[in-house]
Amino acid sequence: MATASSEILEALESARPQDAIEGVKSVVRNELRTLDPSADIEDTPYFNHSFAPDFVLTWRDGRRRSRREVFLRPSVFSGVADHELQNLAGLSSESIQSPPMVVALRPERSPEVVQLAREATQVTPRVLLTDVDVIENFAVRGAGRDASPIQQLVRANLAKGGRGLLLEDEAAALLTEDDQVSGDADDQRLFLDLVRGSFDEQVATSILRTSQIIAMARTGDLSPLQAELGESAEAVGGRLTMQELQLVLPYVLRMDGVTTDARFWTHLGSMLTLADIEEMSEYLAGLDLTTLVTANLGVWTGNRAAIALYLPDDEIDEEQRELAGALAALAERPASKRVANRVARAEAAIVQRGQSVDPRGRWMIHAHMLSAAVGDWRLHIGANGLRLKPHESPSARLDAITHLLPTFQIQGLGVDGAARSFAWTSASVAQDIQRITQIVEDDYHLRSLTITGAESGASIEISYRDSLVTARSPATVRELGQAALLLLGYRRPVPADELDRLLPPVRK
Amino acid sequence: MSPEQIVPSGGDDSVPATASESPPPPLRTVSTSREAVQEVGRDGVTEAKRWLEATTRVHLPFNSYEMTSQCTLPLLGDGAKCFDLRGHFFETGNNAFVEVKKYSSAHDQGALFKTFLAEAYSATARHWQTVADPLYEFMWVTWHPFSQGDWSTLLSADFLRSAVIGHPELRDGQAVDETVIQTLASRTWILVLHDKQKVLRPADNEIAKILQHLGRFD
Repeated sequence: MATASSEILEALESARPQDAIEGVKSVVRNELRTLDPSADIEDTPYFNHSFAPDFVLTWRDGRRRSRREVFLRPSVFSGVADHELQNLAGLSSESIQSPPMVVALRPERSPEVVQLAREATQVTPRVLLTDVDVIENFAVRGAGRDASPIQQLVRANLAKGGRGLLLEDEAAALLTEDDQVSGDADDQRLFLDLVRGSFDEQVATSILRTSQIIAMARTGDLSPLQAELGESAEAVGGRLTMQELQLVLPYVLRMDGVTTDARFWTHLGSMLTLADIEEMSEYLAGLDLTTLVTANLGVWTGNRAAIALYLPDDEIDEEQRELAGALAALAERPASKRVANRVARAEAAIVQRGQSVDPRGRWMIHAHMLSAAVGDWRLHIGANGLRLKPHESPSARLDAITHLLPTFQIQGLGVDGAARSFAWTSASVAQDIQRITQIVEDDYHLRSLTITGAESGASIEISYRDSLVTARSPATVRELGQAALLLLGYRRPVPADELDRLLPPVRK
Repeated sequence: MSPEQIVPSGGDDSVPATASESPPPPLRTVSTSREAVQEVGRDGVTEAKRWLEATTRVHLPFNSYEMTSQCTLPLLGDGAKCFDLRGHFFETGNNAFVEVKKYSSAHDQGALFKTFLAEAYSATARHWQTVADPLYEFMWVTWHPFSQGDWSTLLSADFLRSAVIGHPELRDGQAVDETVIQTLASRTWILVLHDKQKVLRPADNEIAKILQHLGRFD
């Protein structure tokens, strides 16, 4: 297969100089696009100009806009001769803020020139000096189906945050998966040094965190949690970015022989939130999240929970509906990569359905939310009020609930009788209600019930009329799940052993 | 000269292929390999390219070291000549071919310049005969004046004609074409550079801004 540099060599043989320039820039533009599809690539009228870039890359992240100029040079030597890197680094105030990327059009074979380049990049450490075959290598390897999250992170951040010298040897080391994910401390240290030299601090930290998570997941060696490598707390802990999550979480959840140590899963859980899980739900479709969720039942918080009767056929229907919706969107916007990805994910979900484990008793993603099928119910936990909406339901007979009340710390309840309605709030509401209903005979129905979360202290309202559990402040997944299954689902109680497996009580 | 005899930097085997006789600057003393020593000679070529592109009037993306075929022009007969730099003028679109001599003395530039003129003629005449006026312009960029007795006439049609007549091997036995002589004389340049001139041109970041304002790059 022709390499990018060989295609460039061929383009440079074109009879017309303009054809040569267009041929070369077309090869490089394609490689840049494959390397970083998130970048807008502006092609300038210049080629190998001393003072003007060949391409300008821009990224939009919400309101933030970042920019990087790309200078093509015929060789690595051209990129460093006569202080070229320093000159390019100082061309504009923008290039000072975001130092340029210098791309040699052919790989460098001379050790002397490589050494010269190494010295030049030490003087301008924030400029990236690489060659077109290295870019091609990253673009192809990092985008492959078998690419590890680290390879994908390296690829995704190379154009935006890459720096220093990145030629064949450095690229090979960055793309060698075994060194990155082995538990060997020396290997890790070497790899991390290379990452630090090749990326800005933010990206380096991201890659470091990802490599540690993968190493811990694979080996079960949790020593990085004690920061034995001497890394900063942020490197070992902290919130994962959505990009990191989308890469590392599905990878770890699919990993053969992944550690079952709850400390690892709690650590991983501490780096994300329930809202993150919902945001990346498409990436988690069909995966068994039980180990991760179980370790974080008392850590992750949400605001809503609901239950519905579990009908397995409904799920197949939903996946088919999603695929139909995605295909319709694709017909409208055939060029949209995002829509194409949605179709691919919907198809993958249907394929996975055929291979997936029985969802009963497991935490999985359903309707873009954390969910579990248990007993006769499908439980959903919502990070906020966006996804779970109220739907009108009959109120509960009070006498069918009263035996459950001592299990919970009741704050108050709303009761409707044929003759009277009342709301009750007191410290001894559970005892009081029994006394009142015995004294004043009526057909009492429960409108709502408010409990205090045992772990979070949040006020959690169970609304029978809305068929919804709503926490006024964040409540734990365990609290929301128990409230929904026990109190909302009182008509069809979940067997105690199934409930305990899904929502193990807090050990006292 | 056959294509196999192409000498990238000087067009004359008697001149070092490095196009330079100045000692290499310290940055480049890392290597003593032949390849690296040849790279040292590019110093003048890189400097000339920067200086010329700093004028914002000319763009010289090709160099003979790494893009040989783009810098090579066929001559009358079966010869060819590789110039140090190739590009174009922004305003006219004319092709620019540059020969660089970072010399600290006149050396044998008098003879070399005549060969350069004869090669420029041969390349222009060949294209003119086979296609049309190629709109080639040729620049001789040096760090030291030469042929000072003839200095004021070096770019004249008469001097060009005498150079062409003096190199019959570059005409493939053909008579001198006066139309080509008259046209080419107006498209031939001599520039004498000095290291200190770099200080007198706008700074790199100013040129980058100028290019943006000119609308050639935004």
